Amino acid sequence: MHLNKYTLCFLIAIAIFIIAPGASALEMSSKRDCVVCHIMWLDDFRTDKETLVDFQPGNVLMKDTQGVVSSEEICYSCHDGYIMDSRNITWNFNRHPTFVKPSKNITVPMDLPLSAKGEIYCGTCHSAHGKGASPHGNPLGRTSVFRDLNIDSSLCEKCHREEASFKFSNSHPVHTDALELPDALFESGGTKATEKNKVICQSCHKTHGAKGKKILIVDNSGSGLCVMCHKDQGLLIDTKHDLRVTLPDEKNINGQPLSESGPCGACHTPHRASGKKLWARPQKQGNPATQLCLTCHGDDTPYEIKRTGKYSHPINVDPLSKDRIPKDLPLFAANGTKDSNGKVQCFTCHNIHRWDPDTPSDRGGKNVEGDSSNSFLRVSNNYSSSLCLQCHTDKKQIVTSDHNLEITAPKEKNFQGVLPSVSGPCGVCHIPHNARAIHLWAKEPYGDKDFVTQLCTACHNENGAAKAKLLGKYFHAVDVPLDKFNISTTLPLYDSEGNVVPNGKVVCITCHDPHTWDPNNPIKDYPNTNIEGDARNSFLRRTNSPSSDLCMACHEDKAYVDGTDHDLNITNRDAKNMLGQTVEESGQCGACHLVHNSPNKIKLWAREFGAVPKDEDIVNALCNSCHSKGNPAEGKIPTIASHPEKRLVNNIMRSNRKLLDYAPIYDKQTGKEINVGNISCPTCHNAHQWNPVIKAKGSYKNLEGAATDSFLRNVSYNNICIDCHGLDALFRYKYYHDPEERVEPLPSRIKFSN
Amino acid sequence: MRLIYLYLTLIVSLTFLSIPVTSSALECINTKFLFDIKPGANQPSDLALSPNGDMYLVDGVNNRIIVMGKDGHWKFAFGTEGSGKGQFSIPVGIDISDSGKVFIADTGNHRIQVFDLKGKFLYMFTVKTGTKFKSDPVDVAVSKLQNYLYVSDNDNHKIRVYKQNGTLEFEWGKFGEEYGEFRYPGQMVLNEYNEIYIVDVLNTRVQKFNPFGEFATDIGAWGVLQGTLFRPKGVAIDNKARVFVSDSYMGVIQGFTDLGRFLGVVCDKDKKRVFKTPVGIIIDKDNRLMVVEMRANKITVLKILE
Repeated sequence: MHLNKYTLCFLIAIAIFIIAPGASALEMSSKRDCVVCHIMWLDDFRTDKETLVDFQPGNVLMKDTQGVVSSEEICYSCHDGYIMDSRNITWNFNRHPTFVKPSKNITVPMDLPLSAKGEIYCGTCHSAHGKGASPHGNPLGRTSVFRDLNIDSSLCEKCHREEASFKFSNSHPVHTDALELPDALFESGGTKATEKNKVICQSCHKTHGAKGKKILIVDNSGSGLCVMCHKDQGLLIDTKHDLRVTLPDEKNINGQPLSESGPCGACHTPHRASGKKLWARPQKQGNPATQLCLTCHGDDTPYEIKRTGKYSHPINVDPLSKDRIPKDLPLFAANGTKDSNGKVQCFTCHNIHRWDPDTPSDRGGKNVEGDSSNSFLRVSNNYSSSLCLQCHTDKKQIVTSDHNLEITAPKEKNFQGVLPSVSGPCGVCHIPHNARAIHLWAKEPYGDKDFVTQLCTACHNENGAAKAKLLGKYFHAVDVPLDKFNISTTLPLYDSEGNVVPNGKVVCITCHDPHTWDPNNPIKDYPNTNIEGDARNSFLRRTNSPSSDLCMACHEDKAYVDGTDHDLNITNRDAKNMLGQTVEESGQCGACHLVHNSPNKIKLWAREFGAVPKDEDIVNALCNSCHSKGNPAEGKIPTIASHPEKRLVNNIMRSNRKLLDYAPIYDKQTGKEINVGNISCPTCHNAHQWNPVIKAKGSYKNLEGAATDSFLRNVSYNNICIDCHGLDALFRYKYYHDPEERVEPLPSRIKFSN
Repeated sequence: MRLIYLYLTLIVSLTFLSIPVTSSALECINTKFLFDIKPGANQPSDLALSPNGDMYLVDGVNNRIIVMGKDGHWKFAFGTEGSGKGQFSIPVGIDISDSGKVFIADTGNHRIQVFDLKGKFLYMFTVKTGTKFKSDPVDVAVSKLQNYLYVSDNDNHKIRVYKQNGTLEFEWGKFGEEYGEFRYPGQMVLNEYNEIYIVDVLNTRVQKFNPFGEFATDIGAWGVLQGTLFRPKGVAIDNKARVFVSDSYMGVIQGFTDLGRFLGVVCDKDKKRVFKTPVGIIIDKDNRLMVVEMRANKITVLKILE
């Protein structure tokens, strides 16, 4: 038989293969202390006698494999109470999975061995010979015969790297001390870290003796573990946001039913969340903070619960202004975290973990409809609407005003049927979600006028809550564009949908701010009853007394009355208009004009008409209101104040207000401007401007006039008299009111027919 | 070429020689299975019998003692978790005096608690070490001689002897492998002469002492062959003065003479009977062997036939 060298090598290899286990066993140490665990090293297995346990050859000496030495039975044979007692810790309750392959999310490092099957076993973490082995443990992480040091769960983190990487978006933060960890956590089995309040894996997890699933230190099916630290968030339990109450069949993104996830786990998962806030539900695109809420409350969800509606408070917007950043309400950055420079989000107003801000023990319930005192609001919003007014600080005065319907109309409900006492002052007219119209309107609009007027007249109508405050028969025009009159203003103008636009129309809230009773002086001692206003308050945007600044914001050419003899602040402070208001109460303009409830259509006149001779122009009656006996200007009554009635005048060339020679002529009865008629007081006088060539306010002194001022509309050489009287007009003009100086016109110039 | 064949022959021969070849001469003490008792315990450790034959099982993980009738029917339980009177912290061992006092090694509380047979707390005393280390009492044994109560202090490797009222009388033992030394002494039992047998767990033996702690003999040796021990835990004596020792890892119970000669393995019809983590064992007057199987959470009751 011939054997070549290859055959020889093969035979030798076979022989070595066969002999190898025996040879290896022979080399094993038989020292007794080793065999305490390494039972298969016993010499008894290498005799011809029957052993009481079977020999298991196994790969007991090979690295990265599991042998009998690290079988559970060997561990238990000492840890059963008769050397160490680990029954309660290790073999009671739950423990880290063993004899399973690591999940795909786990990467086990090379220095932590797996079994021959690639499974985790006791020896993966434990070794009597490891760096972390120390019988009684010590603060440096040497405990329980660990294979490596376990300082602040560092051994855990060797495999669970993703969880340990402190990615707030997908894992509960570790190695942070943001919260104070309560004693209850450690009394329940949590492990203290080397630094106070530092969160580590073992703050919540126990590898052995865990009483909860996922080797949590306690059962967390009711979120008891979460709320140990997150006490405030625990107030969610049993509220509508406890999905066990409202959506009991829901599962989170990990497929956990509520019985397993607990109420916290329905929305948050400590590891591998879908996004920020450890979100455990599908993450929608867009503004992160709001999308969390909209995963349930969005219009495109199947839940159909508490959607926000077409008209809802804006979100993801900046605060109203830098000086109106709320003190008690958080703003949020784009990533959904609190940020004092952030934006308004759902969470700004809502604390979704607490049903009732004033009574945290009140959890509401499945069938309890919320109101402004609860509804997961951060601050109770009933009574004084203090939540709304955190941001809308400019609206604060509404609470102490007649527009607080809780005081003036306590039975007036909003369109949802909620009383002012429940809705709060703001909620009477505005609701943050599912509003009736823009401006978050909470009442049914009334009437058929412009949109804003409909809002106001929702109360200010014959049958409304404010039926005592109507406009009357004659009132200032609304729903009119100012450009028609060539007027510009700094007051807000509105389009047909109620938006402020530059070329909009005058509406109620052009002059009124319904939230502010007095633009200058907030009420300090509101009597809690309806109060009568005047030109200084009455929800006017600007004070209108003593100077009628509000009126003058549009009527600039009338503003020159200020400080003249026609400013009753200068000439007669005690004079009263038809409402019995002095000029202090009515303002300069209000002395002669009533914006609402004027009995007079002409110029909304605020005074009793003066007496005028029969067939004389009605507009003269306006002047005579004062310039007559017993009235404020009785010292300025012209002896003769009229042009011969039969001498009709044509002002067709002088009817343009914009031109210097403007000389209006009025219809006798209606007071409307016409082109052919009689000369009346305002034909020559502009009651609002003292000097025709100086467009300026008065001198704030009672002055004696002359032919160059005295509210004359024009200088003598350019007045309407010239049209008929020629140069003689200069003389006639000067002595118009002096019957002795009047002279007949030259016959050659004008021929009057009788 | 011849050398090669010679070499191969040598290798093959050595190979066969290296494979263990076992003989099958099992010595048996045959028993008959009577019944199992599953009282709802969690890893129970020890068992004692009252004068009327009731069983008192230490359900230490649940911090209670379960009391059953002779046939295993549930009677009552006593004890809760805690450190107050009548409360336990992972107790391990138990014994009952002829007068009906139930002595419990309340291990985690480092003390002995005494109850009457109805579970009413009577008194307790702390097992002190005199050192900075706390005691670790894992078993008690009641002696008729001078009202002695033997306490095995497991972590401190000592046997501490008290009067049954809690007065310390004497103690012996230290860590070591010599006679009279221990490596984790555990369960104990007394024979009719008040000699005490103490399971010396990590020394894989049972040591026998006279009532005053003087070494008499030892039973068992280190190994996995018949008559040797790997993790001895429980010890009991039958009416023939045979000493039975349970081995929790190997899952067997072996019988020895009181001088330590191996008699046999507890069998069932000449086949080794394997238990799941047998720990505390006891033999009653009817020669019934009761075995606490810790990880099976049950008591197995056998009749010793020989």
